[in-house]
Amino acid sequence: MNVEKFNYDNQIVKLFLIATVVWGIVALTVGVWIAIALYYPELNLGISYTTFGRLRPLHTNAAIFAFVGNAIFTGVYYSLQRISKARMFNDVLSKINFWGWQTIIVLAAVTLVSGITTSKEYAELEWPIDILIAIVWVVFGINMIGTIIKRREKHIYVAAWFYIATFVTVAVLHIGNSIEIPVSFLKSYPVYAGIQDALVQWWYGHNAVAFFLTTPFLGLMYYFLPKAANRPIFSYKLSILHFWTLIFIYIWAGPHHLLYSAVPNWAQSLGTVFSIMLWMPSWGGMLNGLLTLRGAWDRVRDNPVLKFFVIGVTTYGMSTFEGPMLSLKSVNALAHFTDWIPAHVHVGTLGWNGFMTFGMLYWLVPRMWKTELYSKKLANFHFWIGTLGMVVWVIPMWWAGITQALMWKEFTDLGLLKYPNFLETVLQIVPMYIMRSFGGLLYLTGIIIASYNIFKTIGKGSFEANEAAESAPRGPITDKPKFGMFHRYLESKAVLFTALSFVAIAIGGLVEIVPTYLIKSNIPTIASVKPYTPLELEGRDIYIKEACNSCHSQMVRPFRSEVERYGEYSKAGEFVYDHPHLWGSKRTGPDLHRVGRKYSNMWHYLHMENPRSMSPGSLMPTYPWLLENQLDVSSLKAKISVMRTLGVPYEEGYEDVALADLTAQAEQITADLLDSGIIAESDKEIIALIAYLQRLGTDIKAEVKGTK
Amino acid sequence: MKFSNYLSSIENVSIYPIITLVIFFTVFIGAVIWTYTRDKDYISELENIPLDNDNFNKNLENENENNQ
Repeated sequence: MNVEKFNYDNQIVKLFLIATVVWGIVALTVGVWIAIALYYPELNLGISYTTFGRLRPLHTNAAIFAFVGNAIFTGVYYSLQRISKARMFNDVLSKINFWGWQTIIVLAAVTLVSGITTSKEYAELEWPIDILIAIVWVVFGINMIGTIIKRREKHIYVAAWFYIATFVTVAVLHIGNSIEIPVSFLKSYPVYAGIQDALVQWWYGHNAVAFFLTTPFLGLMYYFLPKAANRPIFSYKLSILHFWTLIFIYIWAGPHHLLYSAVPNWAQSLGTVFSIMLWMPSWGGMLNGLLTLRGAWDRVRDNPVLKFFVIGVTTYGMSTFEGPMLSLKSVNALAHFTDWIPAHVHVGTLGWNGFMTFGMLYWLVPRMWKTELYSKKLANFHFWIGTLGMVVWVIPMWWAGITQALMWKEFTDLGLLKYPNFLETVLQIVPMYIMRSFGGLLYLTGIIIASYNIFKTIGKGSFEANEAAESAPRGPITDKPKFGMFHRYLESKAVLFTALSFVAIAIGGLVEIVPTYLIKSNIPTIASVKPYTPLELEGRDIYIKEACNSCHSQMVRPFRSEVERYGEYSKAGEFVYDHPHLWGSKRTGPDLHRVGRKYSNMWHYLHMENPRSMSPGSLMPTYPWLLENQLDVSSLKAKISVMRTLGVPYEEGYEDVALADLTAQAEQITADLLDSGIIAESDKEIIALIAYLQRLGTDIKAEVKGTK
Repeated sequence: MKFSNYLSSIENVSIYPIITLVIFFTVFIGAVIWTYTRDKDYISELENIPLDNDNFNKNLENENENNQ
């Protein structure tokens, strides 16, 4: 029999593996830091770079794209070569993939900490980095599909299907959500505004969870779980079914992030219905993983790899039950904007992504370095401290979320809010915040122990960069043609398969997104809603830079409790000039959509300098640099003209007089501050921010007054 | 705000959701039928792909077996 000899590339797997561990520690350390900052605001050290708003996107991006991202590449580069019985398509592409991805991570860390951000959650990176991501991702895709095409194995194993779907969908999502017009080298505005921007963002955000945090890990599960258990997957048929249903249904569910918002009702209902449908394919995957261990549960007792996999798959089941439940409007009314949501997210990332990754690492390292794990005891300790860390993280946050939501909604017998002061509801849950940070610390300790264990294992082993393998070349399909041949044909054609996966996810995406394009957004449905003044526009960009939307929403939902607390509920027509939307997804502080003219300029000035001077006990960090930093107006002209291109009705030639308008408005605010006894200079960032905050949600107030 | 307001400008717009549903449903049913008409040998060949090419570290695998 003709046997070909070749080598597996282990070097690239090693690089990604080390990057996974290193970035994992970084991401979790930043996580613990900001968890403490939530109850100890002094931790921002009085400087911008270490303030919550800057570090929160650093944490999420590091956890998702650096830690989990490198883990995906580790697993894919290892398993794809084996299930294809072929070396990766091209070593140079592998290296570009690795070094390109690490470059992106470093650029992300530097820009996010510097306040260079688009404000869109999990897509905060500015346009030059977006382009780099697209290039590196396509390199990954070519390398992967190339490997599948030149494989020696006759069939494409199910894990590779998940990898292909991951590649295709993430490419579509990333490009679709990043369509923006540059204002300068590191600043851009998205082409979408208001509700379109929100829908596109959560179409992206939801499916980033689906196709970056879920499908690649299901692929990894289908390879590494059978390997670790040394038996095939429970049901291959089930894997086919839940693959197709999952990729078809997932893409539709994005609007469940926008329930009770100003998004059209049909889109909200669409999101809810598909979220509930998602439950079944998700549990199909979970059960397939767990049942693979049927009759072998005794092995889980003394195999740390299987322990991590069991908890990983179980938490996947938990969070994919919790997700559809949170998509029910009545549950969402309670849970949205509260700490329940981070709890839900962390069950997924700490449990599913984290534990599947750790299990995979503990399995891979001894094999790649041809030795035994340095210490099984330490691995077991990591397992227990990690599990305990998750429990101590998640349960207090469920508790905190429900407690706070009930306090927000509680009325007295007289029909007044029982807790009219938002701060009271925050201080109530501070003990939960403290416990959560302790849980995070336990989990972080676990990964540090893991890195030591892996480091020691590597030290005593011997690594082989090119691992010899042999296989017969792939012959033609010789089976007799019969009914069902089509799928077998399809499954042997990687490119065709990729195209069909694309069709599957494109249908859902188009139906969800296209109608929103057709809304005539450039004609305000509310006549009194006007574009921002130049100073307000600059102030809005400060708001984005400091990521105020990390903790403050701008979306008053149509509930009696919210209208009572904040004012008139938010309307779609109010956001038509908001490139990007700043609705936020979490209320660590109160909603700000109706904050305009609620407080004096002086109040805002002193509050930003030290929130505790105006609101004793507040947990908001201080922003003293806003009082010092000069407002950068160098790209004001470009901003105005880009906004006009996007359909904001600034008059032709307005950019030439915009600076004069800006100065005049700033002088006005400074004069008002002086009346209140505050000597401020009109060219500081704080003045622009005050202008923006005072404008927020006031256009509609004008109309209400006018109609009376 | 109703869906139809946004889409009323497109002619025969109601056909699109129906087409989508039909494609979705057809593919799904197709996948179900295909899956349940596979013979055992074929499925077993597929599901063993990850397991049959481990040509190194037999010791570790053996140790695994011994632990059973």
